[in-house]
Amino acid sequence: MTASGEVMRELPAHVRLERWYRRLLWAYPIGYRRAHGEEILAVLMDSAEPDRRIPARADVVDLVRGAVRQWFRLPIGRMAVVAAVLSAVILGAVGAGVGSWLAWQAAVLPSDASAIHTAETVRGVPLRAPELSRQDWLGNPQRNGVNVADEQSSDWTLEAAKARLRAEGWTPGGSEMYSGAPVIRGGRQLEAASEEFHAIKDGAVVTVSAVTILTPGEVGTSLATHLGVTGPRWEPVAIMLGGLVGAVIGWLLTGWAGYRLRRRTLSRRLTVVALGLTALWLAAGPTIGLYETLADLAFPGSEAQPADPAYFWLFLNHRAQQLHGALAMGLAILVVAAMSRRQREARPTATVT
Amino acid sequence: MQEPTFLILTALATGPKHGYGVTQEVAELSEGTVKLRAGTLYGALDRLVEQELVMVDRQEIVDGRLRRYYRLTDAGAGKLAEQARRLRKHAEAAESRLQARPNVAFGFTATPFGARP
Repeated sequence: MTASGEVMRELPAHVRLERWYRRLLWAYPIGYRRAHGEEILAVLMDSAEPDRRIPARADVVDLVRGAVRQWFRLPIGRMAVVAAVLSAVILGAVGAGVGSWLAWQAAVLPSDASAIHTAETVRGVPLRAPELSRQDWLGNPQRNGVNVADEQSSDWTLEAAKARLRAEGWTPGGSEMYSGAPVIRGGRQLEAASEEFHAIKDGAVVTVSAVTILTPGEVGTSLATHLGVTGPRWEPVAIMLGGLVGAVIGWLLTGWAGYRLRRRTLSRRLTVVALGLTALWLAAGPTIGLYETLADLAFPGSEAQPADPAYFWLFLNHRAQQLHGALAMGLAILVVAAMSRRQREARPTATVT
Repeated sequence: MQEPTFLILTALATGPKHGYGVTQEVAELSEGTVKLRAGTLYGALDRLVEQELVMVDRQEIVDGRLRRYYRLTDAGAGKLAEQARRLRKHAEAAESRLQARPNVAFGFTATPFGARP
């Protein structure tokens, strides 16, 4: 009896235990719980010591482990495992790209005015006719920076440009020289040398590409300045989380489709195999590209460079359409699987004793 | 084949059993060394049903609780027999090699007439 005189009704131990077990069974996929939940419960209750009110820790661990196994379960056979791994790898890449895209939505990107100001610092004089673009040299849209190109100048030197950047708080890195690539101008082939360097300041990266014409009478330097950002600070976390979610979704969908398509007609299974192989062929290039970008993010070089966002491969790259095609094929497989009714196990009718 | 799977098939060899019956039989067969818990048992049983080595025999409701009985299929019996043969062969090979093993201890080889250097 409580202090207020209310009678507390203590539930019998086995009722409390059963409630605990029922709660734990919610960890299982719904289909599995419907098929086996009651008999698992019967075994748990039969195995429990009398007067036990809460489940033994070993039973809890065993049930949770069993539930995880059921969620990630695949049909028997190597083919299902290979398909699940490939789906996890591809959708993991897609998930990482989505994570990267979400992270970049919060990034503060350089404005046109700041890009022109930086380009003028590099040049040393106000630009006469700056050309701004947010596209890379392949014509792909760039979200992580602005390119500023200017006319040729005859008195520009790399060391002076670095000194001006230093004076504005930038930290320039070493220069890389490229030579041997001639420049075609007015139908004439001119000898040229290219130099490039990066400078960083507060998460911003400026990349200066200078092409100097060495042919007498044509001497001068054309500059291209790219002002970008190194990438949002929490982009790696967003990429990892997105990748994990994508990989898990890939695995689960493969398991679901695998069970749906099991023992279906040969024509249906051949259709799915053809769709799957086409999806794999389409996804291979962009997926490898995306993982290479992720590797660059994970293991950056000694010098900071403007980060190529991982989501580039999802929406902006010219090969992103291949990935979209692969995802459409995957969707088609899911539609074929959804049209196949799950085969039910023949169960005898229960007798009550 | 993993040990719990082998023991479950062995437990079902004598006739249909429900889940709790299987756990009891497995504990007895393994002399208490293998204790099958419900999550593991039904994970294994489900796999065995999928492989058509085991099938549902009947189900009863006893004291309001569902008891589903499982039985070994012919394919299951064949698989169990094959596994038993393989294990017996391995055990015989191990025993014969152990008998042929020289009794080496502390750098001395035991002979029927005592140790010699």
